[in-house]
Amino acid sequence: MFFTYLWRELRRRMRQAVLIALGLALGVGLVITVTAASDGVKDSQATVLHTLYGVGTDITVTQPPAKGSGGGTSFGFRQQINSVRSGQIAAGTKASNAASVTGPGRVLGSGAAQALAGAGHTVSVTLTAPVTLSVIVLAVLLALAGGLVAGSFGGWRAARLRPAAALARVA
Amino acid sequence: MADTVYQLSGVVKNYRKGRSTIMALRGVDLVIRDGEWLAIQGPTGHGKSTLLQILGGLDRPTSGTVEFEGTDLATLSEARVRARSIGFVFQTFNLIPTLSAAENVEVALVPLGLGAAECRTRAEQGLAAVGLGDRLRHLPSELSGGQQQRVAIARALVKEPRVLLADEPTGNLDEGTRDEIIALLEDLWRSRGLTMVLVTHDSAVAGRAPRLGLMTDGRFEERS
Repeated sequence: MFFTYLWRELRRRMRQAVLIALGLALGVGLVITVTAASDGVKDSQATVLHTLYGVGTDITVTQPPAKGSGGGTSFGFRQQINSVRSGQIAAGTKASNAASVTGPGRVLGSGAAQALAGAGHTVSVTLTAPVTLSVIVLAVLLALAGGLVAGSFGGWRAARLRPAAALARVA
Repeated sequence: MADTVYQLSGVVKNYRKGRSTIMALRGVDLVIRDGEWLAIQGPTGHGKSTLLQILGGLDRPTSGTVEFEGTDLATLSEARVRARSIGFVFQTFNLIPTLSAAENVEVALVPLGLGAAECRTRAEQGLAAVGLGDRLRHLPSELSGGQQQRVAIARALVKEPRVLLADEPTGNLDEGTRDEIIALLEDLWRSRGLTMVLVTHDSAVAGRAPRLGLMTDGRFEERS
């Protein structure tokens, strides 16, 4: 009896039912869009920052020696710098097979150098909507949950009415 | 002496409307016995419908007591009493427009938890008893006013209640249909041994009842 009544009421209020269905579809669409945008941003970050992934301990900064001081502070990196300048790989460094010297006293790893070189370029990333079963299920569940909460609230309020007051409203 | 079905003592009902208080009932004392037909007459807005709603457990009094079959109605589950023992007939029929006549009658049996087949059988019998055995599948919009009220009467009586409360049951009907409905109610009252309380402002309807009361300004007076 309950489902018969429910189905007939939905058929009777076709316009409202269609409107609500469109609302649910909009909710589903929003979830898919947000998921797509999130995935796209993640992909674009991965593309843009890919060249920085190799940057690690191979970035070394030294201070140029001051005149008359008999030499600058060594920071203990002199050996490493020398090794890099001579094309050797310092023991314990990672990811970098060669180093680029960008100026006196500054030594950067190859990854960082590539990143700096690429900083002036535009990277285009295509946003694709990942319409997977799990995304659709999630969207439908969210829409249903919203509908149930809204419907339950209305039902709860109606159930709390005094019967006499409810009858006065339908009369 | 017949059993007492209702005993009302000092029943007062006030409604708040904004800052003002409307006194719908001002101390009603009333005894209704088993198998009685009481018609309550009176002008609009003098408490007839309020009294009926309190008798039916649709509303609660502000003060005073309403005993139903010897027990204070306030201590009973009003929903259960309504579902099993009291049938209602309203002026506006209150049928569900999307359900057929048979389904509207079946609705009254839902709280009783009967099986689908028994509900269907009893609904068909109920409609046959009010002369609508051939209108089972019709929607309310496909029935005349008198037929809709017959469906409402069948819905009220399908659960075989002890009490039938009717609030202006002929208020929306023409004179000929009104007489048919009152004749039907009288017949059912006699044949089923119902206790019937009927509220009306129509003297022709009230005059059919063996016992007549008058509601004036929230007070009940017995009329001979």
